Amino acid sequence: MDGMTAFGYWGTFLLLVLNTYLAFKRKIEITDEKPKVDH
Amino acid sequence: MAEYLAKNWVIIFLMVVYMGVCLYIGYYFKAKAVRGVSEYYVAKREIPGWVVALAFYSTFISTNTYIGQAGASFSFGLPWVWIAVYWTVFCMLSWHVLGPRMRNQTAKLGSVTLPDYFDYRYKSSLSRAIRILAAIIIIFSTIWYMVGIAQGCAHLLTSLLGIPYAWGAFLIIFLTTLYTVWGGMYSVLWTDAIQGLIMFFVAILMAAVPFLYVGSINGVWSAVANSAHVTAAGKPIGTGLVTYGALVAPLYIFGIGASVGIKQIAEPRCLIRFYSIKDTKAMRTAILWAPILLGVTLVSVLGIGAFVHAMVTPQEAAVLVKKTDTVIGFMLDKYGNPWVSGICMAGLFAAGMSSLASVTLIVGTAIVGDIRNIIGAPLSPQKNIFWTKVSMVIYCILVYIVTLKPPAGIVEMTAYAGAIFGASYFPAVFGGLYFRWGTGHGAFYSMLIGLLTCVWWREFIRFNVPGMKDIQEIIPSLIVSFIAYVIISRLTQKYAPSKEHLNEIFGLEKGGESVKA
Repeated sequence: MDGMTAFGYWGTFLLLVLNTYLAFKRKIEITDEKPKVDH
Repeated sequence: MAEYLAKNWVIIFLMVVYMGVCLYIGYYFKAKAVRGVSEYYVAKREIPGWVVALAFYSTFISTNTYIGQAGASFSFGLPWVWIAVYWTVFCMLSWHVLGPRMRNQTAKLGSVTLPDYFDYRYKSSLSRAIRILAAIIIIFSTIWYMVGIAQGCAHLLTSLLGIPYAWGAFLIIFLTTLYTVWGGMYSVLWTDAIQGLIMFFVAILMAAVPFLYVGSINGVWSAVANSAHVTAAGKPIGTGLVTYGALVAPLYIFGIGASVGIKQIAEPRCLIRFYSIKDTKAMRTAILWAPILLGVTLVSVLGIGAFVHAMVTPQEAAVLVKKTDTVIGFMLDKYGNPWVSGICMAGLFAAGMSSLASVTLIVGTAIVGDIRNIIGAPLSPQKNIFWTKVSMVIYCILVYIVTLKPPAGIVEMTAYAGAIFGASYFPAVFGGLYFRWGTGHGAFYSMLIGLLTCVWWREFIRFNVPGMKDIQEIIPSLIVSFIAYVIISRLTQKYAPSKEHLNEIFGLEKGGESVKA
């Protein structure tokens, strides 16, 4: 298998490693603010 | 009859168990779902992250991934796995860039559908028009998508169990409608989660079949690395299955990767998942797992077609290479294990039903929440839910009628519908989440321009101008609609929402910049 073809596999796994890093390291804040206007 | 049951009992047993679990989930949430519109439409934003991650994954991946995309590598070889890279990138973009902001803004605005987000966020003289236009796009585009899935599943039931096409379509459409109508977003998300688990397991099982059949990794690999089979044009494949650019143009892979992958950042069935996330911990869990589920599934299934070369004779290969949609069915038939076939079939149905259920609910909410309640006096919560249920049933009857005699080229129409969503929704969603200066005029006209460019490219350019065939309509129409959004928003600042409204959504400004999303 040539390198570019193999990248389809290990490139995906590399992205998943990056995603795991970002999922733990990124600042994520979900607020529970209620809407001020009742639609 | 006895002979039929003796032959098919494993598949029938697994299908009945699977359908039974889905219906039980719908029934279980029946009472809870009708307590209020927020409960029925977005499961009261109280769903754990792992459930939403599985639901996002199972909604995005469809039967076509397991049949069409998996079989395509029989003809294109392992470079086809590059699709996994593109789709994983879009999945990450969706969850990292859109997810958290969308969850926060929709909660602050009290939005329960995607069209009503446009209305509440842009708050302009055109925002109701955007809401209705967005809902109309949902209603007219979704039917082709649903017919495509129902048709695929019905054909599967016919070929597998000999069930007549009309009965197969009836079963798949109305069983899904039943549990969706019962439990609203609760049953959609929880059944999606169960279906997602099955699909993930099936992806790995399916990938193992060629290796189990041949009996060794080396045996499969040597057949794939230098194949004695021929291409659809009759030329020897040789090392083509493992050589980048040999059997399929990288631009074609990019075209499919981008045009399908982009649905994750534009289609309501994916974006609506963000609404139901419970809290920060749930969001982090979903951000972690959704791309993992998708990426692992894709690297498992996308190369299966290429590995099937190790299972077939040159004569069989010459037929399959021209009909790659039949490769997976052929592989399961040739392996001949009823349990493996039954489990895989349950996975394929899971993939179809999870996508059907999500769009059914989105259509119901669009008809009642975004059109009926805007045109007429708003309904009480209980009447709202009742009419949403009625709309879903009527729409599914319509889908069933079209499925009985589907128009030609349904697969292309499904892709067309996806492109229309992408081009018309994405700028309004992304701009709404990130650009304080985005206006209702920018959103409305970009939506309209995206829609028209998509139709124009498809009807007059793509198949009429030489060299344009591989450029899917989503790419030019998305670029044009995004530019339109930026320019029109900049030119119509006098129609921008009030500062107080924007501060409520984006947080207070500091030195002209927003400090909190």
